Amino acid sequence: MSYSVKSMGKRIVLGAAAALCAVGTLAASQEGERTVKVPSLEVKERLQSIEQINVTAEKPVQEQAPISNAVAEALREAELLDTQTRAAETRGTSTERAVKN
Amino acid sequence: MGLLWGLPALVFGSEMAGAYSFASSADYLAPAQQFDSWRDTLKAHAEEREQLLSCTERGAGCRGRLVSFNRVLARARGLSTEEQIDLVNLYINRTRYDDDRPKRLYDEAGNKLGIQRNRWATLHEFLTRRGDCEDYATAKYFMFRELGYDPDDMRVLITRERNVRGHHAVLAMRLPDGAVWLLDSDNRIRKGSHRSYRFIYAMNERSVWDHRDDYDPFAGGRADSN
Repeated sequence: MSYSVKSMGKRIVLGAAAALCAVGTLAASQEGERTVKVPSLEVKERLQSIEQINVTAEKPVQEQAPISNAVAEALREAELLDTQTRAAETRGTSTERAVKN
Repeated sequence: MGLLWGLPALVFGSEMAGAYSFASSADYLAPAQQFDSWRDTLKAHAEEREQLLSCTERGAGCRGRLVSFNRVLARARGLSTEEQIDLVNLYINRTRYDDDRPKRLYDEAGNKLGIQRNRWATLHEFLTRRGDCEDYATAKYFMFRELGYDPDDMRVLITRERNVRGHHAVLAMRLPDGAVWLLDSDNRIRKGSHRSYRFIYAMNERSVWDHRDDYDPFAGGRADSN
């Protein structure tokens, strides 16, 4: 008896024993794909310990000049856009308050 | 007197002497997906990303610094690597600091449920509200990802520093020549020596590394809380 199997896009013909082997391998590989990795107890403990670390340090900002005119220009443009957005948002909030009152 | 000079080394440990290295796999701890709070932030960022990048002009939903963010991103694409790093570092550091100290969590009946410590902000949250220490480093990480930087060359690195109270976060970047730069929220970029830092742990979207060399699982973990 022989079986026809499609592998890597090519059709190959196998004997019965080889076909059984191939089916077993396929089942094993599908089983492998379903495997979920679970952290070991020690890794879990270390992750929990890390998660407990509270990252709160605030460092005073140092004045630092941009390294090029292109960087300075991009930062100036960003600052201008942020100022305009803040002003628009403040106007919006005031208008909302006025409408409510 | 000699004992006094030796004290900082005892307190800060051996890593202080060297520069941060991406090379060692010895400190690898776990896939990022197993770090619950960070995984949640990565997932939320992926969901918000499209909206974040659509804010090229002021309008509905484009609040805070979303518009300037997209403009800076567009400008950065035409710059050299060093200029990109400088621009992102200075731009993100201009966000106002907001403290997210630990909050006690209670249920409706007033029973204490626990303490919520770090919450990693998404880039969208950081730009529309504010951020605290670690959020500056993660915001830079997400911004460099938009500029096409490889996650394997970046880590959000939690540190301790002399003369700084509490834990601090910086973004560690590996450059094409192998040099590692630390981008700090005080605007400085540490290029050569990282002597003042003690490395605690690091993460990117793929992995978590535990750099603590004195971890004792039988002591119930070192909380390191301040």
